[in-house]
Order: sequence, then C-alpha cells, then structure tokens
Amino acid sequence: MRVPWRIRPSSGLAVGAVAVLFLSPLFLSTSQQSLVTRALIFALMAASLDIAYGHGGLPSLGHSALVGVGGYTVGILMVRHGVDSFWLGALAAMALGVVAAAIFGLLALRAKGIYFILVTFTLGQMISNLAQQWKFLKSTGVDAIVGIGMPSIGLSFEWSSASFLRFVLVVTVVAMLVIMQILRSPFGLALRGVRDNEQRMEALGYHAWWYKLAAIVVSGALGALAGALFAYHSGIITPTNVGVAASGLLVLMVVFGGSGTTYGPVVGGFVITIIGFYASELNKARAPLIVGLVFIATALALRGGLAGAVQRLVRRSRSGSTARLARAAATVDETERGRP
Amino acid sequence: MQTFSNGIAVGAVLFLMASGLSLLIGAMGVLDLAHGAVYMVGAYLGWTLAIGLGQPYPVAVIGAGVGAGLLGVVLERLFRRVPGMPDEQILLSFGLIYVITNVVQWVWSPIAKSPFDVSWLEGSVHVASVAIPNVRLAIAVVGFAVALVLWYVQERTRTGAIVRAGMDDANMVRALGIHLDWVVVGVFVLGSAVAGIAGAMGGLVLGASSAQAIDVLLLALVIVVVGGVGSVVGTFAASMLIGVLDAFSRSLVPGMSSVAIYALMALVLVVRPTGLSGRLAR
Repeated sequence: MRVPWRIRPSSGLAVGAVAVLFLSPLFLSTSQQSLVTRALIFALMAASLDIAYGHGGLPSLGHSALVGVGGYTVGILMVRHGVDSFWLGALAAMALGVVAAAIFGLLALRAKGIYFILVTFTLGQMISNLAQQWKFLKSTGVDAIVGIGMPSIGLSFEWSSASFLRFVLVVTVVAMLVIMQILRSPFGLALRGVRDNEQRMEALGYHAWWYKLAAIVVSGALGALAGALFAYHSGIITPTNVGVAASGLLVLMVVFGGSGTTYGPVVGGFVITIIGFYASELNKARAPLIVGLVFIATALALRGGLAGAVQRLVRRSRSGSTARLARAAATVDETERGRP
Repeated sequence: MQTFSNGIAVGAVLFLMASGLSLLIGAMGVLDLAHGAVYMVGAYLGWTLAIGLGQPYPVAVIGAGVGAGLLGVVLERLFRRVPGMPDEQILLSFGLIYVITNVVQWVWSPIAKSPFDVSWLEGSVHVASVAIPNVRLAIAVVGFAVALVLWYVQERTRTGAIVRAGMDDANMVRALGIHLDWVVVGVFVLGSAVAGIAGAMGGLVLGASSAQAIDVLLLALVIVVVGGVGSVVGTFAASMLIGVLDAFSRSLVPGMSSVAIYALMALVLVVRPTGLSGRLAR
C-alpha cells in the first residue's frame, strides 16, 4: 500500500519530546520546572551557535558575547526604561544582536581555520571585559544588571514557573522551526557548500564571504533572543554570563550533541544543563571535575557527539545483523567524518 | 620607564607561555587550550616548592618545569587520540581546563596565592634614575634566555628544521621517513615545561590563582594572533608589545586596561590577518 506521506522517526521523537515538555509542569516540582526552563534556553543558545559552528564551519568561541548583547538589552530596557513588553524587548535584543554579530563577523572573518577560533575567543573576552568595566552595563553597586522582572506578553495573567516554562518552550520551538527552515533553504544548502568546499562554491558564483557573514549574523540574532529569555528567567545578567567560559560551555553543548546536525545541539544544550545542575547538587565543590570528565570522555569516545553515536547505532541496525556489515557501516561513517 | 620595565617583565612571562602555544597550534595543528591550565599548575608547583617547602627559587622553577612537562606527556597522550578534529580538541581542552582547575583548587584551596616573596630577589637595580626591581629583572633574564634557546633550536638546528617543515607540509616530512610523532611529543613536553617555568616565574609578580587557566591563556592567544603562529621572533615581538601595552594602559586608563590589547589585536587582524610573522596557521 502506498503511504502518502511519512513522518521521519526523528521528527516524531521531536514532537513527542515537545509534548512531554509541555506537560512536564504537571509532574515536576517548581525548582525542577525552573531547571527545565533554563535547559530549554541553553538548548536554543546551542542551536543558534550551531548555525555558524556546524553548518557554516565557523567554530566561534565567542558566542556568549552575542547572547549577552540580547540579555543586556532587555535588562537595560526593563530596569532603566521600564520597557517590559517581551515583543519590544526581544525585537530590540535581536536587532542589537544583528549589529553586534555583524561587527564580530567582520573582524573574525579576517582569520581562517584554527585562527578563526582564537580570534572569536578573544573577541568574546573583549566584550565580556567591556561588560566588566563599562559603567553603562552595571546596576548601581554591582558588576551586573540586576532586578530584571518578568516580561509582559500582552495578555493579562500572572507568571508562574509552569507558564513561563511553556512560554519559553513555545519561543524555543518557533525559533527552532525558523532555524530548520533557514538551514533547509537554498541559503542553508549554499552555506554548507561553502563549509565543505569554499573554492568550488566560489567557482560556481557564490560569494562565500557573504554566506559566512550571514551565518554569523543569523546565529547572533537568535543567540540574542536566547539571551533575552535568559535575562528574564534569571533576573540578572553578569559579565560571567557573557564571558569565554560561558562561550566554551555553549561549544561543548554543540559538540556534545553533535555539530552540524538538526537536533544534536538542542539535545546537547538541554542535557548538559541538566548534568551540570545535578553535578553541583551532588557535590558543589567538585562539580566542574565531574562535568570536565564527562567532556573528556565524550571527546575521546563519542566521535561526532551524541548524534554521531546515534547515527552509528541506526546504521548498524539497518545494515543487517551480520557483524561484517556493521563494521563496514561504522568504517564508512568514520571516513565520511574524516576531515582534511 | 618604570612602567616600561614592568611591561617587559610581564611580556617575558607571556612569551614563555605563548611560545609553546604557538608551536602547538602552528606546527602541530593541535588546539591545546589547556595550555593555560599547565601554566597555572606551574605557578602552584612553584609556590609549593619555594614558599611551602622553602626551597631555593631556581629549584622551584626547575621543579615547576619538570612537573608541567610531565603533565605535557599526559596531554599529548590524550590529544593524540583526536588528531585533526577541532571539535573534539576543543571539547577535550575544556574538559581538561575544568578538571585541572578543580583539582588545583582541591589540592591548594580555591584562595589565590599572592605574589611569591623570595628574599634574595628583593631590592632593585638602579639604572640612571630608574629603579628596576630585581624580581622583574630576573623574570626578563629567564624569558630572554629561553627565547634565545628556542630561537636557536627552531631556526638553526635540524630538529627546528623538521618542526618548521612539519608546519608547511606534514605529509612530505613523513614521506621523507621522519617520525613526526616524536616531534609532536617533544613539542608537547617542551612547550608544557616552558609554560610551567612561565608559571613559576610569573608567580613572582602575579601570584597563583585558578583564574589564570583562562586569563593567561587569553593573553597568550592574543599574542599568537598578533605575532603569527610558529615563529619565535614574531611571538617574542608580540609578547613584548602586549606586555608593554598592558602595563601602560593599566597606568594610564585603569578602568579600560584590557581593551587596548584587544583593540591592538583587532587592528593587526584588519591590517595583517596572518600576524606579524606572516605565516599561515594550518
């Protein structure tokens, strides 16, 4: 019988996960709801980073700076100017995110390869230093913007941890759909083309530089949106939130989940936030040790992150039960991943 | 003049740190972001030997170098398993930074150590009307000496020629029957040992703290960007430039000190993206 359309298993799983998350306030405590909200925000940050990182082949170690632009924008708008509309705040955050990302990209794209990583790393630190030293980016007496309240979304109701979780979920899902659409569009295809073979794309008439800059700008805009959500959720934004350690964590989320894949970075962001939280519940002083060991193990054992591991599993099971075929599938996978 | 001499001393520490990083990144294509953590371990080892155990300072510096070199062996064993994979190298680096920083906090407590007091390095030398503290003089002397040795090894010996050739065409070097793997081990161990020495020497003015794993790494990265990878001369020039610029901006505009350094980096990027030495990173 002919099936008119088919839902891919990964899409089915994604819809299921969103449904479970939407219902999660029914069975989670308030603090767990807050953790899930935070995890969702970090998932969006990681997904926004992966537009440039995985799909553009532009490994940025300064993404938190762009995220921070969004956070500081809504923070200053709300605390100093009383703008509490989410729509205005998010719009302003994304607009400034675009500007910051364009400047960031103009400088960083002067460098290539490993150099690009170093430059983004230091640019990120520069912005974090700015946050530390510039009075404009501080509330009185502290090195941070404090007292950021909940936004209003034009409906009159009181926020609860459950409703904010659902709101963040909706924003994240919409942003994810936008990201997926962008990556599926001719732009997304050309971007991956530039990543895989820049010379060939140039020869075909694509201006590679513009695609890279556009990837960084889109990545920065959505990162700034995530940063705005982060500021609303935490009520505070600090230089540490925008610093290189935070950027490094975002990269870890992307790589842990699997860079350049559709769901990998989202899952990575979500899972690492949860692991980090429970590691510090377990032993606050030794939490970085636990998280660090997870990273080292992932780097050494899980080539291509979680997504890579899942792909290998799927191929293995599809290629029949004989061990020979399974091994062949694994080797093909390895060679495909091999980079020059 | 006083500020200038401070800048030279800090520049010397940064050079020790950045020279290894530049070789690892430039010659080996290994993104070893844990290099700052090695520096930090060197600083703490120096503290334990010199202050904790009261050993003479040269012993502490050598001890820190040996300890950091041993750490370099471990790092090489780990990075060997993710060759040419920037994603995994970044992940591994950050994992190592987390683990090493946390272990250091565990062993030496999270409270930072103030700059080490070494009695025989107190006082200062008077040149014309300027007093240059002995501590800074010692740092500069060690830094310059190491710079000279590194320059000689890299530019004038067969080993250095292999390292430079590996930077340009690793496959060709292998095809000539040279075991590049051993060169990688050598660079890792030597680079880490020098970073450890940098930690112990830097401890005289900067103390030791767990934040150094990232802070010192960042300055070293700026130097690698400004100086270009894999060139001792370029790295040295950039280190001195950054050290002096940092010292002056600290005394002139205390609020915005670090911005000057990054502004310089941005300028170099715009004018000359391959850094002062002009060699391209792999």
